Amino acid sequence: MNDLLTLSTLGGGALYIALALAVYAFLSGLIGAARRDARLQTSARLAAVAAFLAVTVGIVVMEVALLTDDFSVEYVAQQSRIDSPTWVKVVTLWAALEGSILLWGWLLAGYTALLAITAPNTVLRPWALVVMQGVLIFFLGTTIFAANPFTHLPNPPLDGPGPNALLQNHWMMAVHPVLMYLGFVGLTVPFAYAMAALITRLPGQAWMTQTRRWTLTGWGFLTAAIIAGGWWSYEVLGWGGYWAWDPVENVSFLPWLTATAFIHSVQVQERRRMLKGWNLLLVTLTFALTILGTFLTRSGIVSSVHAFGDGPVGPIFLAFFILVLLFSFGLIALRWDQVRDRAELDDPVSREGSILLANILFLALAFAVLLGTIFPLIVEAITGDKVTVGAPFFDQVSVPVFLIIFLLMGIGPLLPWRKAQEQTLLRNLAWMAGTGLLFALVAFLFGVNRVYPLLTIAVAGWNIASLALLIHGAIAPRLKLTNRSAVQVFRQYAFESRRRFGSMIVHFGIIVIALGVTGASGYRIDAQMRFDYNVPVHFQGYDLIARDGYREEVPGRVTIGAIVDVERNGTYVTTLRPRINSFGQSQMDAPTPDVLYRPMHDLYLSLAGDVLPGQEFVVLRVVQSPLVSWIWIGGLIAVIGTVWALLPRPGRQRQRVTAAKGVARAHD
Amino acid sequence: MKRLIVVILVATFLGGLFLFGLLRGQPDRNIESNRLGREMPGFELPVHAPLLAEFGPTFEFNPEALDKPIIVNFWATWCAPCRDEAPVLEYAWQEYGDEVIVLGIQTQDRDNQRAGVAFMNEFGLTFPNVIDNSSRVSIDWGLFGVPETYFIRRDGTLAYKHVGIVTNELMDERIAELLQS
Amino acid sequence: MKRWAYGVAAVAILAAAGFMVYNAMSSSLVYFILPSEYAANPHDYDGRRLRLGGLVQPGSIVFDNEDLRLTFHVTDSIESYFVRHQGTPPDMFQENTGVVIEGRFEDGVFVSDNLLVRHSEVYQAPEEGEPVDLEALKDSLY
Repeated sequence: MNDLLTLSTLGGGALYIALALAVYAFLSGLIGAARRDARLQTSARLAAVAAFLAVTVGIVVMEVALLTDDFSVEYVAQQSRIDSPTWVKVVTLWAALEGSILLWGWLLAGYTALLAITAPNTVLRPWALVVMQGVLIFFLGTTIFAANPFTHLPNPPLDGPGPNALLQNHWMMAVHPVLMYLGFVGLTVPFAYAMAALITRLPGQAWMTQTRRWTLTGWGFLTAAIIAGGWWSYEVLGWGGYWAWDPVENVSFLPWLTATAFIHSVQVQERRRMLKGWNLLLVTLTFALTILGTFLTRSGIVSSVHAFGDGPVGPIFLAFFILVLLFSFGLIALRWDQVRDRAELDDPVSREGSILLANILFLALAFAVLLGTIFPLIVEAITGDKVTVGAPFFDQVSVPVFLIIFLLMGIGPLLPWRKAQEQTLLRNLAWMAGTGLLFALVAFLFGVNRVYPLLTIAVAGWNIASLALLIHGAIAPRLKLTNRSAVQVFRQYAFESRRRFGSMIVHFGIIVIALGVTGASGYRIDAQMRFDYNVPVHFQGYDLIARDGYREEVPGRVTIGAIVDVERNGTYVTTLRPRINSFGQSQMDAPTPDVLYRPMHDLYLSLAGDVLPGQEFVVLRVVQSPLVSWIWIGGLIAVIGTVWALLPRPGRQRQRVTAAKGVARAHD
Repeated sequence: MKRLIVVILVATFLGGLFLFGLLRGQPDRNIESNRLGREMPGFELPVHAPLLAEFGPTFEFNPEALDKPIIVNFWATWCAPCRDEAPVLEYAWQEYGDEVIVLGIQTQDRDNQRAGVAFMNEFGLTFPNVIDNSSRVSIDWGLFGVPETYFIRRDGTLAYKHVGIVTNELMDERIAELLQS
Repeated sequence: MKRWAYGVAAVAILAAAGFMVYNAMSSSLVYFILPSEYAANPHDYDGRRLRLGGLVQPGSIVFDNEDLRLTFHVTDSIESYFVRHQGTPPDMFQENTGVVIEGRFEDGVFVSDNLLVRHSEVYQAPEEGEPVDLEALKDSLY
């Protein structure tokens, strides 16, 4: 065979070309933007598209190497295995560090190309593209020089070990990392525009209005990724939980917190020309935290179930994180005169007041979570003691903060900008507090008697009343003006005020998630029990009867499992098969719990001991988590709400007509 | 229209690349070594830490001065089949250690001595194991992949080369041949 | 006047938040120690949740598969403590393997609710008479 035309040289070459194109796009974009040279700017945009195509070639080559088991590519030799199913081979691209960074770089190149093609031609665009290219150069450089997946092995092995057992055990692993990177990359766009705004001395709201969709898209993907990650943990880690405040989970949560703060405070700047500096700070922090997260998890300095080996990648990301902070804060300081707010808060009891307070809480929570995540490092550096920060810390800090945020989430949207009218405010508060109390009372009568769950349920009631008031407030005046039915008017409102109505859907989803979390963590029952075959064991109203154990071997996978019949009040409900999978050479076993999903509670069985021939019993971990599926449903609702807000309004033509009608109405 | 053509061209190119890659044949690795019957090049490599007391700081292979036949196995910590066959090599050493030498060479492991020692401890390997950091020896010996196992007669010539996992039966058979010659 | 009021409010909120974080942190810090470190000052860890690391002492493993109760001694070759763990032994749990157990000391017995096996390929238990390298043991378990 030709030694020069290997997949390694092909893929590696494509990356070098991509890097060269990105550098060219960066430089020509920079000069073009500085000199306002339209031809150079166009050239930079074309180079951005070409760079994306070059990285795409790299991705295609890597997929080919994975699918054809070409172990002369080091990444394939270390991560793939011949008898893995095809879908596992495809997703092995992001099963380890090198491939993940390549995927991240590819998505970033894709967003940059999309921006270059579709973004409206404004003063900001050339500079934003330059910033995007700068970030892309970092990712491609890291891929090529520090974590190259295309390293060639002169003496390839005959087979590889296959990806981490936990990753190939669930199809969600094909989805979750991609969503996460799409979120991270999406949030790079507003950052790039913010920097462009600072460079061009235009820190108005242009950079925000032009990136509104990107921000919302990024936020939606990040939300979906976090929920999907939780569901993945629930389905494969075997302890019946979905969130352990593990460092990797925390670092994905940090940018979510700041991004959530950002999408709210943006509105304050749009409406009141306030919080300019604050918004720049938030968008910078959000982007920087995505980089810091990669540093913390990939450098191996915080121990974590997801931790990967050492290597130069961690320090490189740390250096880039510091560079990003220095660059953006330096730029903000340089432009402080333009950034400073001129308007002042008229009254804290107003829309902007509530958003500001919620913002501070989001940021404080992000700080506390970050502190908890890196605290072991600080302690070890100072005293040499090895400590871990337990989940109770994060619970104790986040639960009260979230309760206050939820209170604000209910009242904020009902408050007008600038200053609230006392009478309306009091009437609304009375409705909301009343509903909240009613919810808590009903829950109490049903046996909920702990403080935090009761408070959460009360806050849920408060928010549902708030949503009802919002919709009523939007529809009632329109109903008076037409003779159409309430449903028709509601439909029109939902389709025309997409942003507003979308946010209501998202808020509703968040409330559903909050209730799910409360039920699942406050009232979870977790037991390890011995099941003698064919002897019913009573558990929370169910009768569980282990029938048999089994062992199954297919090429590349060995499974041991138990067959458990579930009965309720003497009637058969279902059969669950909790299993443990081991894949090929992998040292790690992958628990594969089996779950009976129910709207009010899940029954979760996980194998906790060996299944041996001749052994007439199995040991199972049995978990009942009330309302846990509400978390996934709530997440879905939140994503639907985000999509709703993003969809274009029906027909521009009609929009103009209604706008004209609105003006006419205002004159009446 | 022009745009559409560009898009189609790009998609065709990427699809073609993908197809080419998938249909491209794999090189045949079982080609007979042209060193068969010839004397193998000598080397001296550092011995892994747990075996220092028994075998000294380095292991020297001198084809001119062998007192027993030798079986040389190339492995790497990241190589899955190598894990499968590690117990087989240990079996050969336990069974025939008086008559032949079994030598493991850790290759292509980016100076990963530590992982090599962990690998040895995991499988309880007691035969001499050395590390070939520069991959010099694997190039000299014409290694095509890992694992590969070389069976060398007492006169330093290559009797047989096995690509892939060795089995207990294969070891029994080949060692018997080595001892007869 | 207004700015002054906001300033006071901000300081108050920050102080409250700081206090809350401090409080939560001091009650949820879990120290990772070896048996001999516990033996040196047991009162430092009264009622605290701990992560105790060490090797499983040979001959000490008892598993009752009726009650699903596992008991064994965890040792760092200097001190050893009796451990009671509710649940089945994990897959690779054997004599002389490194383990990290999480729980509390109750009357000199370590009651664990979480048992992790650590593959300490690097650390090897010392032979008779050899000095014990506690640092190496701790690093290999962490």
